[in-house]
Amino acid sequence: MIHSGRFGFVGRRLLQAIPLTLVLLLLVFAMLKVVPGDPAMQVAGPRASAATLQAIRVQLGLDQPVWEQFLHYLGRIATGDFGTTATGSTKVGTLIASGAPVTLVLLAVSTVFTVLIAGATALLAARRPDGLVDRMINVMAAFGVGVPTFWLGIVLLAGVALPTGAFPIGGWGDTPATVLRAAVLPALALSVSVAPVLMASLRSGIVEARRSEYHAAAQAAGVRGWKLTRGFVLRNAAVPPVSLLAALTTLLLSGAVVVESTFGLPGLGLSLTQAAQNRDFNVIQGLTLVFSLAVVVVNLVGDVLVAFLDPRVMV
Amino acid sequence: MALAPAQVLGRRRVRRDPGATGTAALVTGAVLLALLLAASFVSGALTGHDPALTDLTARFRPPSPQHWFGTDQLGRDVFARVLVAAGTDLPLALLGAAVPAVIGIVLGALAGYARGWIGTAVMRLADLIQAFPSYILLIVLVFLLGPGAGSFLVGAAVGAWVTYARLVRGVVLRLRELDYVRAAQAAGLGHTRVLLRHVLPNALPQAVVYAASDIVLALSYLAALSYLGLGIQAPGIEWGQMIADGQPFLRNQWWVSVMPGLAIILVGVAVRLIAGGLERRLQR
Repeated sequence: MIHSGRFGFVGRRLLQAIPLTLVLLLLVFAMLKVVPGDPAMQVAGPRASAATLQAIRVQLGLDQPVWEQFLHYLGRIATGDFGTTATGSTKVGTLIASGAPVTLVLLAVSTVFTVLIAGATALLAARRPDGLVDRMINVMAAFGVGVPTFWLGIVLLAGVALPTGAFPIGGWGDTPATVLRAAVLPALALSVSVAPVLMASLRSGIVEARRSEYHAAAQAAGVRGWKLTRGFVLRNAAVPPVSLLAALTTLLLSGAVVVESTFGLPGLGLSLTQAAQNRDFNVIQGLTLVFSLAVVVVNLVGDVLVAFLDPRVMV
Repeated sequence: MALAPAQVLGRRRVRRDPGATGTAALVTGAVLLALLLAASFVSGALTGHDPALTDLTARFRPPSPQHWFGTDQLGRDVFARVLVAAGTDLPLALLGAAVPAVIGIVLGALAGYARGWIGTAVMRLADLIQAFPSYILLIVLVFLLGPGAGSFLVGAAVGAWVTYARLVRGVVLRLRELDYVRAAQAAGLGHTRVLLRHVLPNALPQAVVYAASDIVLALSYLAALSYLGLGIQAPGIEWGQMIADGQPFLRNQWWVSVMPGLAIILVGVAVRLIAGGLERRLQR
């Protein structure tokens, strides 16, 4: 057996991601071929003559074989050229660059909320498995998963932002303080639907750790209170949820697309929904690529993280 | 498509008689859904208001004994509209859960039983689909196909079959090596018959529980798409679309947007009862 260590594992995992990335690129490229309508016609307008259409096809490279068009597309992506929006006013690359920080901040804040909510409720629920608190938290978790994120966002706007005035009614900030304030409610709405998944996994991890012999041994040796919880329970209970992190981030990313519309946050998700409403092909194509590549990266990072935490995974 | 939250939750051991409590929950949930669906057909008679009737003299009435959920910007009764919308939301949510379940079960059984290149192809396709976050896959598919109920169903089917395929494939892979399956094959039964009569029934219960809890997921996809203006369009009435229509008036007329969400929550509770009840009954 080859035991190449951590960096060998990372390298192999990177290599595995390459074919998937290529297939994703091919799929996103193929969207152009599936979308109804003639691209040349869309550029030239419905009254263009056959000669004009042909000239535009040559200009767009549509007269070349498909594989050559794909290579051309790869070349453009590699240089960060995603084309322009339908109105031609903005480059899609610029749109992505301005939206990405918003979505990333939203993801970061909601990850913090998710971990806090899930950690606190899991600890509470695991105190007495199948007790009253545990069952109440289980019911709340079921609600959390079932409540639509965008509706929860609206309730937060109507019930918290409007009466208190402490949070903006939508939109983004321009200083770190205003940005954080703008991100709090959307992140909260997002976390409520995702936290139950993490909570369920953490809870069973905690219950299991409490039943273990090392826990009994630590207790017998006089370890008590928070030290016992942190050092002997949470530490071991946290390993399985870490392998969930990639899936959770994907869930958050998916939910962010909807919640950004509710709160009018100028992120990638809002761009995607607006582009779908306006039928802006280049924007959809560029964002689909960005989102799917983000998921590939998230899974890659997740696998590496698990491997570093639990060396048995790498062999 | 990423993992479905409802599927991770609620696998708890249950004490006492699991079958009886299961049946009670199952019946309660099913009755709730049936009542809601029935109410959608007679919403006018039930509420005393025509859900489509605009009355500009009665705009933005707050919830009251006359208008339980208030009235909207055109003076239409929100409660009557919420009930009518159930006739759109419930059937589509049921279909949106059932279609991917059937596709996934068939593909998973095929992948597990046939193995070889078919199995590999199905599972690689599943990996590929999971590389897209669910809402992004939905929005892109709706963009390609155009908004509407049909596109929603296609989007739900393309995204959600993966879970079922993985589940059923796992069970089939395990079972096909067992003696009783070997015996059935040796007795000369055809592959189809072995698969349908001797292998698949063992994989179905869990898939059915998943499908039941996926009704909530399908409903939230449908509502979110309509909320974003990519699902059910204007003459049709749908909860997510009602929530979006009411959002501009959130400051002073919160009920227009908030009330339709209660219906989604009610369906969530009913579906959870059904899924939990099914699970307990099947465990027995």
